[in-house]
Amino acid sequence: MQWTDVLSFVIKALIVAAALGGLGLYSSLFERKLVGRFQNRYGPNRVGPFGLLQPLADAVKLLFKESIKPKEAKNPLYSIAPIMALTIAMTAFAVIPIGPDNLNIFGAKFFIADVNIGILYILAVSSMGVYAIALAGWSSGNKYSLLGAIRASAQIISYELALGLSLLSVIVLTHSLRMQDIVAAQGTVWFVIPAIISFIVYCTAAVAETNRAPFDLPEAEQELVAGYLTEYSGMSWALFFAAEYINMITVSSIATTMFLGGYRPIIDLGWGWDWAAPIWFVIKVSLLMFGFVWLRATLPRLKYNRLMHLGWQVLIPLAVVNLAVISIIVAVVS
Amino acid sequence: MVVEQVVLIIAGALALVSALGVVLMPNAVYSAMMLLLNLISLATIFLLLHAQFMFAAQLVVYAGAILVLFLFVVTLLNPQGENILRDKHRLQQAGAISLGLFLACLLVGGLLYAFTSATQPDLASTVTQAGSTYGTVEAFGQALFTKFLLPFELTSLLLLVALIGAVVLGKRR
Repeated sequence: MQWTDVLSFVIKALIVAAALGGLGLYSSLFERKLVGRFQNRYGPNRVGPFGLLQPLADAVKLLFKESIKPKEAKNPLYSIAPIMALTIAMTAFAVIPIGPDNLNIFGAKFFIADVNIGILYILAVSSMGVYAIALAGWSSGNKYSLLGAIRASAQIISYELALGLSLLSVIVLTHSLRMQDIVAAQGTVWFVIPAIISFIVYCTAAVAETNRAPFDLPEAEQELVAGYLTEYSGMSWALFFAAEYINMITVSSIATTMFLGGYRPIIDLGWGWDWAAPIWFVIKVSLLMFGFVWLRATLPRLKYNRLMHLGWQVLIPLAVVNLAVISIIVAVVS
Repeated sequence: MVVEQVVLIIAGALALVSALGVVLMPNAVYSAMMLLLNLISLATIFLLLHAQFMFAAQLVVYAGAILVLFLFVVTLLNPQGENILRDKHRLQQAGAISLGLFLACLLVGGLLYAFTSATQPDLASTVTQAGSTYGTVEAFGQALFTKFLLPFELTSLLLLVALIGAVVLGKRR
């Protein structure tokens, strides 16, 4: 590896980070608009045309807000936790391909790295996410924060197992951990059809992993004020907020790559439309994000014991049985 | 090779500093964070050694699961001001220091022996040559399920026994 390679990696990483930051901002508008429609109102429509400048106005507001640090807060962890949350949310994106190997702009391909441990890397990085929440809760020096953080960690650890097990069946189907191979293997049929149970388990676990409704127990405001976010304000709160939306984008992208054919077109337009691959990817991710918002607008929050029951006694056994069945079928067929 | 060397030096230095930090930090939560930093540095070194599976396993198993449980216990119990260095158990300290020195001597001796003995296989050149599968997930899995099948199965049995033990202990109220 040369220093020029390092430079190209750094530039690509900066572009991806900036894009994810912007998309994270605008997915908040996407969500507010949609939730507004679900509840028979307009949603934000004052700042700019159709409220399009609302996220920028919010960002400016949060930048100028005073960042209050409670007396009991334990620095430096209190300050590091939101940065960790955002960094980890972005890091998983490094191996997700949004374009095929032969597509490039001035020789730059549509992924940062094509490593042959792609899925393992994603699992490794996403398992780090729990630290940001646990540390935020502990370092705030507030009982509600600590309780929220403990809930969140327990939830994330529980659902991580189901998440990993559901991704394993895709590995069994492709015999490869490389993301490009997985997308290439979905040429004839997307894995959502042979591995439909894995897809359902993955989506459920992904909603729980991102602490979104109906699994947003860590920030159940009736019981815990705002959970681990209680003592955060201003820009450090905004970092957690952005991390949540970027996490949504990341898990949707993983679902797209693993089950929905990645950058492959929904309708094959024939030869000459290869360049549209990233656009198809964005459309699929947006559909999954719509699902996230839909769930939030529709379902009430689960009780904590129901959440643990669902994770340990429904999703994990289901994923294990599904993995066994798929393995047996693949072994018999091949 | 320059990039790899720079990364190795940074990761190695971080690993050493954070390992010291685990022992010397006054608060158990900071010790756990130092352990996390140490695990990540070691994972980076594994990656530089072409041991990709070890890199992922280190992060998923140790940093992602075991250390989270440590952190769980530490934040829940919140032990304060319990500094091992100010501890009164003089005998225990002396024992720990001498045992640590003994292990360090063993490690240095083993490394010196490995580097100086003439019969050692030239691992570096076999790993870095093009087309080498050393350390990849495929090679790792192949070795685990053919050459080392018995130890692997025995380990899984041991883990199962530990799991059942944990459930039994948890049930007894």
